[in-house]
Amino acid sequence: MTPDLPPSPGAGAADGPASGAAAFEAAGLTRSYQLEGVSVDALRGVDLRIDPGEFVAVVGPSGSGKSTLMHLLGCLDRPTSGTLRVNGVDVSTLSDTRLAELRNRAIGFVFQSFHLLARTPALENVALPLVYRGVPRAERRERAREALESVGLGHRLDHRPSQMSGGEQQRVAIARALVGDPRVVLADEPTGNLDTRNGAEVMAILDRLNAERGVAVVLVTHESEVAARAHRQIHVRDGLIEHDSGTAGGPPERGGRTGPSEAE
Amino acid sequence: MRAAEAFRIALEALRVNRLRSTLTMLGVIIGVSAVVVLVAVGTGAKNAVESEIAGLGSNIILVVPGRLGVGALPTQSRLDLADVAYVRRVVGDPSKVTVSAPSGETVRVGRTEAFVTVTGTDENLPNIFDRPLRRGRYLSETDVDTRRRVAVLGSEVATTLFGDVDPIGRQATISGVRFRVVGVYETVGATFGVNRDQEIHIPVTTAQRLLGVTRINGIAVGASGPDEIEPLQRRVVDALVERYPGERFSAVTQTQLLGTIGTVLGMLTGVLAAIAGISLLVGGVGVSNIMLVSVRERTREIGLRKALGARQRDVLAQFLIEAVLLTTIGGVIGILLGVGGALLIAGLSPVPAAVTWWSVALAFGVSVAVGVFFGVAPARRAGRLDPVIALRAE
Repeated sequence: MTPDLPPSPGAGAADGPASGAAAFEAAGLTRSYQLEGVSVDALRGVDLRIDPGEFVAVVGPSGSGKSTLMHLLGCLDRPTSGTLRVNGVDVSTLSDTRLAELRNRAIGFVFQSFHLLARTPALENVALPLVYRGVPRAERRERAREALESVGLGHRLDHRPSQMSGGEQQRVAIARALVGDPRVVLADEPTGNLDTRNGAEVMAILDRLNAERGVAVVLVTHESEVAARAHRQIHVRDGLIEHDSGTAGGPPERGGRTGPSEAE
Repeated sequence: MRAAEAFRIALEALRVNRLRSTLTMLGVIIGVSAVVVLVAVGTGAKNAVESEIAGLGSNIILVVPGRLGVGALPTQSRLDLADVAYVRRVVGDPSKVTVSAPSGETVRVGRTEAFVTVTGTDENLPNIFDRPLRRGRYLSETDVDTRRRVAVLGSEVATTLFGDVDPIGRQATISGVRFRVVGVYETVGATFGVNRDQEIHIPVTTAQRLLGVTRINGIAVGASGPDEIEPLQRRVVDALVERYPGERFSAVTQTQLLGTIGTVLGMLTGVLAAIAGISLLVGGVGVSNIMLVSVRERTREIGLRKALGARQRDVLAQFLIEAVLLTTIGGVIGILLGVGGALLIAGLSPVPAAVTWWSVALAFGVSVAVGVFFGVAPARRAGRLDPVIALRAE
């Protein structure tokens, strides 16, 4: 449980990840693609601040740019212009290798289609991020087991994804996102491939994660019920933030924060 | 990521696609085992021929009329015993010169008949050639001088004609004339495909009279030491050319034979190895192809790994190690099969096969190198994949 630390605006210029820095801080973020010679603007200037411990839903119709925003926040992609700070670090200064290390340490991913290694047991799937952190095998397995137990899958350690239901697979994916103790979990349509019951279960886990561990959760979805479970909704349309419930039109630095107590 | 981890991931990937991995390896297996087997056969043949030549004796110079060489037509010999005497004078030591006048004849003992090479020679033969006796004696000077009808048999001839009976003192009919057996040689094997255990030696004088042989085919001179071979060889040829102006005579030594044959067989082995190497190269192309398929197939996996923190070099290492493992495992299997095949050939067929450590080491090195060479391009492609695009791939 991270206590509320009022972030000092604009002070995130320090090089290393500062504990007081925003999880994400974007200014004038744009991303355009070249599609058959035509430039398509997916994001057209996004200012955004998400603090540690927040539970945010990014909502918008398909093609609104919310997936692009997600990829930028997840350091999977680089902005065309504008700056993005993750934990206070300007990602444009990082090499691909450093970016990979940042993803590994700071961010956990949950995908709509789970993205588990099909022929690999749950335990190994969950341990994968630690492989790239150079954690010894025994410790990896221990931490992966703990992560699986925390999502209620302690009895499924050696099962392969093909032997599990969609809901269970997504819980394995959440365990994998958690295992590296990230500050943020980025969930891209995590309930999109699940039925209502399993979707609710996944949302409950994300909720609990946010409340109990203080991990910031950024959720991309187009389902309004799912978005309603977050404490702050960011509506994206045509590559711009159309509405931000947390900031309510104010500057992003004064982003609304939701303490763990309110999550209950 | 630790190297051990990269190996584990690569092995796992190979295990999961067992059939495909095996088929891909097959190209390398075939190439490597072909290299090992063909080099073994080539080397074995070379060793066998060299030991045959060395088994003749030491410091031997063979003098024949005409030009000697691959493709040269056999020359009608004009040498006779007078020329042998002349060469003896040139050499200085008569006991170091012997003569050969072979002819194919039928030999009979009771009802047993054999067609063998009957060679007229003289008492100096054992001074020059390495031809140990099993029983009895060599031809003697008296045998040659008095044209005795005596014969020394090769070991196989003796067995064919006399079976288990001791042939010494017994009669054998050569071309209708009765000869007395005075000696039997030890088994010496074949030289240039001529089985010397199938020969009968009789005095050259007897051969000339009874078998109608007047010319002699060749003169063999024994040098007293390795340093003497070349000057002696030149002296004998010069002397013969002086005696028969305008004619050619050739003298070959064991060293020259060894050198020539070694070069020819070495080239042959090289060509065989190169052909086998081409199949190894084709195997490598197969590996490259499969790795490209593998990268495409696992694009989503690559995207996921990158999202979870795999660096470009982690992904590159994973696929490169996979390719190298593929070819290395194939190489080791190929070496085992090749060595086994070579031993089998050596054991079951008359083809001599000698596995050489350098061909094994080379085959192993090349299979590792093939993995690196043909694995780099697919692995780089994997490493450079954009995670966003890779995650979306189908």
